Amino acid sequence: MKKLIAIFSFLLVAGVTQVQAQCDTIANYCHKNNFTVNYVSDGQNYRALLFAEQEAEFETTFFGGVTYRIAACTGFEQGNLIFRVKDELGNTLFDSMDQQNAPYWDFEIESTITVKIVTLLDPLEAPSGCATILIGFKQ
Amino acid sequence: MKSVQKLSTNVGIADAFDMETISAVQRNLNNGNKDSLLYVISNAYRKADDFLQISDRKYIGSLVVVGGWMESMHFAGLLGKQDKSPEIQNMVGMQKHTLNTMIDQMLSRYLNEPGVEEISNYLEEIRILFDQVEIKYEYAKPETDKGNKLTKLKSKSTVEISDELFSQIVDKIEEVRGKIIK
Repeated sequence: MKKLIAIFSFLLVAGVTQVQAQCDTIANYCHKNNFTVNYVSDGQNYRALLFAEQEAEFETTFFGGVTYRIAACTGFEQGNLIFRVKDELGNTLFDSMDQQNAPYWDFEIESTITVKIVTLLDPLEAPSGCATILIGFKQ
Repeated sequence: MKSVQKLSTNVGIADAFDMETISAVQRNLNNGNKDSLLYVISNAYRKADDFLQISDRKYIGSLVVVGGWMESMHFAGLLGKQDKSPEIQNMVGMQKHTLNTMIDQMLSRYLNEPGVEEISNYLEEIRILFDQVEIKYEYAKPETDKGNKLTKLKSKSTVEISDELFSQIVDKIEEVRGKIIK
């Protein structure tokens, strides 16, 4: 029994490590393909493991006078992750589905606001995956 | 730079601030190259954050975030008091959201870890004052330029913070910062 638990624990740890490594690789791919030198990452990877119709929500503050870039990836093909930007009242300010699942988009901010970035998988492209959002700002 | 190395070694993230990174920071500081400096520091922060997440010490990452916030508020407070700039007062007032997120969504997950509850209680003292800051949000329809893959977000948030309240917040930040660094 102890042996079984040990094997199960090992498999679980190995699985989690593998998912973590996969998310890291996706984040690097996402950065390489969607960020140019004039955009600096905010230093964070916003990530969540999604299945089917699950959604992940990240909250962030956009500061007035700054232009931000949001890039969204899952897997190694562009456009598999849909992202929406919503305000604090729930109004949708942007939906990447309206832009042919654009993998990145820029946002010019007039006044400092708090927004929610909602991500979900494109059901036609990916049944599950590590949803990775990167946010950068223009230098 | 020596302090950065010493601190990063103490919290176990020395690899993120290796000699190459430290030299790059020093070089860009000397050249006044703010953009490259920001780029180098962002990369180092990302490396440190990844390392803390993998090594199951996320709570240290959360304390690093609080420390960075506290230092930014310290400098913003000094500038705001000196210049009496409404812009700085507004920026400080907008930190109400960040403070709430740090307490309710970040530190609350690690309250059983060493030092986290103490820091969270300090932030609660600051929050009592921030609760008096009024932030009003007004929706405005965004404008999208498909050709340039750009959306202009035109919604507005306005901050209501009196000079007196701003001064109280800055003083409280100084008091709490003093307790942390002593």
